[in-house]
Amino acid sequence: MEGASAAAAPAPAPIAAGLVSVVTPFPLQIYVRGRLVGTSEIETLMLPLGGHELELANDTIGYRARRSVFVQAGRRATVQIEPPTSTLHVNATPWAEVWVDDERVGETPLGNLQVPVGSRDLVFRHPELGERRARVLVTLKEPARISVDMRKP
Amino acid sequence: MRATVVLAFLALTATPSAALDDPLLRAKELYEAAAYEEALATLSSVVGVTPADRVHVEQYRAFSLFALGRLEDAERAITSLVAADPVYVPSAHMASPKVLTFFSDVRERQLPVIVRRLIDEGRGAFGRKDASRARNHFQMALTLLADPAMARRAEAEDMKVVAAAFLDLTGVVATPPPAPSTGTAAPVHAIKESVFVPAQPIRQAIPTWEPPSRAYANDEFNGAVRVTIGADGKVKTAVIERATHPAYDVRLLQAARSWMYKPATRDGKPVESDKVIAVRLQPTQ
Repeated sequence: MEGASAAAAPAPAPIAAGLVSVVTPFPLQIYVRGRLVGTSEIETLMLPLGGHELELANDTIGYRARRSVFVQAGRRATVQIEPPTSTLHVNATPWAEVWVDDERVGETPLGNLQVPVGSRDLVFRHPELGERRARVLVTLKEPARISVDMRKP
Repeated sequence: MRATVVLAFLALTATPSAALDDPLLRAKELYEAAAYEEALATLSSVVGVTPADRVHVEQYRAFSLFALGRLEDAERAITSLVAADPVYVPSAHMASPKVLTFFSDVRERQLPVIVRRLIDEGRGAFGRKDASRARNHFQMALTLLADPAMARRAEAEDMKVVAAAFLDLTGVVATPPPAPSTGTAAPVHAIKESVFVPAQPIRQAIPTWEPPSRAYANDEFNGAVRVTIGADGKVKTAVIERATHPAYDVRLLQAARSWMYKPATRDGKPVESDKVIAVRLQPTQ
């Protein structure tokens, strides 16, 4: 009986969880039913099998969203986040041509530019005063502003 | 309660920024900081401005509106600016090429309207025997007609002929030649033969430009003062023809009143005359 008993020992229970990746251009905290389960900076989350509603948040930029995901055994579910845009005002003294993330957006003064939220890299160029670089955080809370004095080194 | 009020007052007056006391300066700072809506709100609160300030109010209003893409409103602001000072053009050092082009296009559309009005008003003043006022209008019209923005226009040449002809007539009205002994009117050709020699400066020191605050140190101003020089060579009156900065305009007027000239002559006789002296205040930094 003992031998039979040993042979009938149950196999290890299958892992009732799957993998989820949140792909986003800006960091997000990930909640499930109000509980923090990870951040987007961690490449992969492990969640129980089945359907879940992820609550995604970045309070710094004022972003909140919900995404449904269905977790299956042996598969990786991916949640892709397209960044919303927000308003950016740009100026330079006396003036400059401006690039936002390597895309030329025009000459100052520039208002109501719609750019993706998050950190944006700007380049200011003036034909005589040279080039300046700056970074600005664009949020959904309020229009972002950045100005550069091209006369200062 | 009284102590609370006093403390609140002290807190306000202790604020170091001069911009709090000067809404125009505050608006300029807001514009430069890309706070365009706030700059517009501040400019709306500016009241009782001098003609010189009016130019700067409309300029920063136009620039802010332009930034926000409100081009029709920006055009209206530039139209107001050009009406206040038709000679003013923003320095190439203070605005981008696209802003300067927009400004120039609007100004170019407005100048013919202004020149026509100057000529009409000058003719009206001439009809009322107000030679000094008429002369000012025709001289300004000719100044604008010499502007490259006007010189390209087809109607400019005709307007120039009219303004110059009336300007000649105002000179005759202001200093009529001696009446002929016969008592008859002077023939037209006699008017054309009179020789006018403009006044020559003997002492005409232009004050140095010391910006009242760092906020203006990088700005360039182009202005002019008009002096009326008596037959004795002394300045009888001085008025700002084209404003620079209000603080400088005051000093310029004070200086202008002490200037001395070799008086203008007509047919060899000293006569009263007007002269416009342009000034350019360049950035000090």
